[in-house]
Amino acid sequence: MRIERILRAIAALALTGWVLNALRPAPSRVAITDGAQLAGALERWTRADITPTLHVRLDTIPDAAHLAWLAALRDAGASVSWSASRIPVTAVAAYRSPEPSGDVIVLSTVLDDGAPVLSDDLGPIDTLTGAGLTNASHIPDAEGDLVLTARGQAARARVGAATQHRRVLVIASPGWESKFVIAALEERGWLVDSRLQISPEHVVARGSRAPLDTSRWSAVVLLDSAAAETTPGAERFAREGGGVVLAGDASRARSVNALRSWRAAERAVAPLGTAAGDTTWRGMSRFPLELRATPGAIAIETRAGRATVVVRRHYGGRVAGVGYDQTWRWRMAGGENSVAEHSAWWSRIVASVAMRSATVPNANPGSAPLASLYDKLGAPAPVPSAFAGVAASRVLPHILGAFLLGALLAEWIMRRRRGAP
Amino acid sequence: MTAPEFVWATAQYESGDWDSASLVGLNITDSVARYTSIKVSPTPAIVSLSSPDVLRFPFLYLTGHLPVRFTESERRNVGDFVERGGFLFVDDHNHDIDGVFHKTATEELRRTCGVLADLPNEHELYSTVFRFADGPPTTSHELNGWGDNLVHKHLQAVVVNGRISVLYSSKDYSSEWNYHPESKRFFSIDNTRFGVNVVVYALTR
Repeated sequence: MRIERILRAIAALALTGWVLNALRPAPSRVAITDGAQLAGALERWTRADITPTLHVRLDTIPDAAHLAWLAALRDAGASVSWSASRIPVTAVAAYRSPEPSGDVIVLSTVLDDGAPVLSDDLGPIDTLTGAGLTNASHIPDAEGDLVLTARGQAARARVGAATQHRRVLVIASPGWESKFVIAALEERGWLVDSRLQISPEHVVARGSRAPLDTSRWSAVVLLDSAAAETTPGAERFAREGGGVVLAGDASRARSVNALRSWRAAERAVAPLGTAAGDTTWRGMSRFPLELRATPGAIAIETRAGRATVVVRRHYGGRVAGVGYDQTWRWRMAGGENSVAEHSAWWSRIVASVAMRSATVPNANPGSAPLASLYDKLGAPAPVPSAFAGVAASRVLPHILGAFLLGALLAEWIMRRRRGAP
Repeated sequence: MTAPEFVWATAQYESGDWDSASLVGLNITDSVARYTSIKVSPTPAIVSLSSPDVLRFPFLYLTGHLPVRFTESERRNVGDFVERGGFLFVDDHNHDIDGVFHKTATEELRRTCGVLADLPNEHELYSTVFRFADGPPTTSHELNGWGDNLVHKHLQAVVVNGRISVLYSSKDYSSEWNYHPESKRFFSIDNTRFGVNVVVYALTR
């Protein structure tokens, strides 16, 4: 009798366990796929009625849509992980130069030996060579998106629209510096007006002689203190959004006191024997610019620990101080590329302050697929075991059923042996 | 103290009499100082075309009577000078388009700097400081029948990116301006005024 009670208790426990097991939530299902089958797998996983544990074995990084899809599944409760044996690392970013030429500056990184190719909508532009390549290159233009591809892995960047500039006005005492600064800017596509005071009564002018006005000029370049002193309205011009470049000793003019937060120190002359192409001098002399304690100006070029080119904001506009007054010597007597370097240097300085028309920000200046993958899904993880948790969930009801039936059968046999009903 | 902006530099070349008009530099420099406030060096310079020093003087004056045949280094330096934006003023001291200077110099310039073309008489060179409505001013040597006995209507030039890089004259300004600056007082009209235009144009364009 006592054994029969024990068997009935066992049967009751097995029944309870069976019921509880049937009532508990469904266990996770592990699903593993390769990158090539990811699109189909995502659809299946999305339609599945259980919350799966998902793992993707990648050979290339999924595109942005599939990455977003995986992230959405993870946000919906799925456990999402990824692994890869070897992924080509590519990244590309593209920016339009603010100069009139509108060159596209391409920053690219490829950590792979898969013969990376840079292309736009019209076709391949260039083939980069070598692994572990990090490049900053200029291309004249690009049609549509720039795509950097290595071993099937693409990184994509959208090239923004070129900046539209108004004219630039150069005001100076006539000399080689003014001549060659004007030439340099014109060579880089700027439309240049000039006012060169050759005597108290005579100005050699090209373009309008109207007062400074941002509707006419995007920047004004004052090449010396005489030009700065005799040009009214530079402060208002900058306040209204225009760019002002104070070169040579123009920073010393009282009329531009409000524009600068630096002081031009004594003019230093290059030591005897200095080569004209020595860019530590950019000519044969310089005015170190001493920044004041007041905030606002940053040095963008220093020589011997002292600033030689500085830039600051002034209300809506920008002001640059250039501590060189004989850059023409660098151009004329410098190295083989000094003409191009001189032009590019002056153009960059003017572009850094010139007023720009408002443009829609570029939504996608560049992409780094591997970084996006880490950002969306975290670091790679080992492939999860496909059977973890599954065996127990499937076998347990059978074990409990066997216990239940066994206990009931044994209890029935015992009762029949003693003749009980 | 900053260096003078303008130094008149006479080009010294191997093949000819490069110093045949030695007072022109002094005279034009004097005129530039009289009529403008441009800082000038009172002492003109002489620079060898075979020396890289030509690149220190963006204005070069070249004249002579004899054949001009540049050496390799002269040709390289002159080409480099023009390419970098220098201004080369060449004047035929013979005032003779059949003369050896004209024939050889124009050929050498064509090889080194590009093709010379007539400069329109409305060009800004003729109005930069003083206005010359009829183009290049006539010289006394054109009028007295010397040389080719012609009054040349135009100067010639090689123009690069809208700027004159080589200005060529058959008018013999070398004779016209080759006198001591003090002698200007004897002229009713200063005949070096066009020289001022040439210098100011070179400095401003």
